Amino acid sequence: MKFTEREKLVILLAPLAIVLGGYAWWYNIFQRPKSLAAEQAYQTAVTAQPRPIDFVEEQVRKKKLDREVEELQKQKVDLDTQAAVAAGREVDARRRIENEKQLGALLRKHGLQIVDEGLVGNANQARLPASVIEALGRFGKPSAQPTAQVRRLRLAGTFIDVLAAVGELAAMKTPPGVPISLSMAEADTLESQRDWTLLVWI
Amino acid sequence: MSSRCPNTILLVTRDRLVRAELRAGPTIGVTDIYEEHHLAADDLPSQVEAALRLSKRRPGRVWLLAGDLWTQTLALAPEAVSGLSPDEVTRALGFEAEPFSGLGAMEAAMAAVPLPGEGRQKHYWLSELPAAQLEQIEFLVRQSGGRLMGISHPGGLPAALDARAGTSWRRIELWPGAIIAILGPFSNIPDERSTGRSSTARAVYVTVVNTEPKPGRWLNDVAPLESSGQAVAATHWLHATRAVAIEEIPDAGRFSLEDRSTQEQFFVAWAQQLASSKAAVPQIVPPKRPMSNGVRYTISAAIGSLALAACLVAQVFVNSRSERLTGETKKLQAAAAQLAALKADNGKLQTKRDELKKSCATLNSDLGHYRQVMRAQRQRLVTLLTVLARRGQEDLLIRKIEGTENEVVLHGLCLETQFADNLAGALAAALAEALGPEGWQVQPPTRQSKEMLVGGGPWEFEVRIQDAEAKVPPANRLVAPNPGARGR
Repeated sequence: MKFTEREKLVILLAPLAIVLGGYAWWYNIFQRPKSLAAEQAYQTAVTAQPRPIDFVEEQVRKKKLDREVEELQKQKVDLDTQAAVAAGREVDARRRIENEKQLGALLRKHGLQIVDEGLVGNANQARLPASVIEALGRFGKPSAQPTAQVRRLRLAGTFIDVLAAVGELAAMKTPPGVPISLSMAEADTLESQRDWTLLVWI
Repeated sequence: MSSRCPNTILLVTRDRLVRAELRAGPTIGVTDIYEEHHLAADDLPSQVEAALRLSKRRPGRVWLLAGDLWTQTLALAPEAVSGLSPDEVTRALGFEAEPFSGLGAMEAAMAAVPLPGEGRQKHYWLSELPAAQLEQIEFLVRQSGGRLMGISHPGGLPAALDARAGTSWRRIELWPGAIIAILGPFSNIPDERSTGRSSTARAVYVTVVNTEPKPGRWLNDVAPLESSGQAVAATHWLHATRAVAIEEIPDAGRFSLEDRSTQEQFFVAWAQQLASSKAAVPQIVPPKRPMSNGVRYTISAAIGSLALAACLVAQVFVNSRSERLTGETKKLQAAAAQLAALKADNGKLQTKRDELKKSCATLNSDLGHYRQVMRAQRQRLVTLLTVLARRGQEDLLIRKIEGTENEVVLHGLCLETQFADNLAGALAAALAEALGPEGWQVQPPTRQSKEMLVGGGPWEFEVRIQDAEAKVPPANRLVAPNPGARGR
């Protein structure tokens, strides 16, 4: 078979044209969008690339915050403990007994005779002054079964003795109990000895 | 299957066929020589075919030295060839030689080389043969498995056959149908086929006399050749025709192709000459054959395959780049995400810190408040009792104290109403000073007259002191008389 020069050229270059054309079409339809997307994503990522100093700054900030949080947590634990102690929720039985003994000794030291002694009840809201309840309420819901107790002491003694005992109790840095109320029974005017009822929150 | 011979030189003259096989490599050497003296055919293609058959080995590259090639040295005026390319000069020489060779310039295949010379003429050495014969010979060589590299006349080898020839020599060759004189090496020959620079190494001057050497008379033809030109140190003779008896040639410097060693020397010299890209002999090169369809298809497929391979390589490159970009992007995004996570963690930590700060501040405040309240609580009774202790016994009489958790009620008697007021005022002032706002609030005293004295006294009074936070329901209060009316 004889071919013209043009046909010879076409025969020679046809596979080349077909392959290149096909690849160009395939590349344009399928590959180019992927390549462009990858390129764009890369450029975006490069633009948004954090600087090393950003990491350093954030890590320094994190360390500082960690330290602050740790200190504050310790502080809070300490404050919570103080609040719990204040609310009488951490007074253990042995310490309470010690306080009772100390209170009794104090009263006796001032010439007061403990006629009767008894437990009024737990330190629920009904037995504590409203201002104390309000102050305790700020710490949150009181414990369902507080261990601190309100004790009633029936005393016999003079006004001066009671004043001295109450005065010392108020002056103590860590008193064995907090006086809640004091009652004085009516008696003969000339009689200096009176009956006293002291409610103490131990 | 016969092995392949890399280089083959065929020498075809009227009285001999020689096939010389040469090894390839840096040192050219003859491996075999096959010769036949009784020619069965008289046309050149048939002789070439017969020469090829002298050996069963397939030839590789084939050079043909054909004695039937028409060869001649010609002179042209310089202006006639001025501005012409070497091919055009060759074609012009073909036209010039047409009357002598009997070959039409358009039907002949030819080759020419310039010769060194002096004077007003430019000298050329021309060889030609019918183009049809060239095609036939090329076909025959191809049929035998070889490739025809070129056709030259065996005469005019531009190299000395005697290694002791020295700087100047002359060789007179007797070939069937031609006497050729070679003078070499010539001092200055322009190499017009290539760069135009002088090429002195192989420069020889050739004179061709298209005359059949005849016994006893050939010396007359040679005499002008021998006497002309410059003086030489030695004259050599090459006996290559059986038309002249070898005894007619002088012994000194005589070489004969009947001699095997001369043949080897001759073919090695020709192989070196023909293999050179700057051969100083006219060598007719067969035209390039048109490409066959099969070859065309093969080349086309090869180009397509190459293009496909190139596309695949490009695709691999593109994929590799995309993967690299994707990997880099992921790395960058991971770094950004890491930073974002770090920032988010820090944000949470900051929130936690702020909450803790607030909580601690609240707790601190509450504890402060609680301590103040508790201090007030501890100071309440002592303050109350202290105030009561300070009051003069003559003013009033405290008969009873009723204390609850939120309230203290003082029951007493006084002679005058203002005594109770004074007591309440003193208590209010002392408690406010000692306890602050978290302390007790002293209510105005209530009084009731006993109507035992003129002024209504003594008075029974009641001072109610309440916790600041307490919301105590109103007690059974005594009817408060108008102090202005009932009191002092």
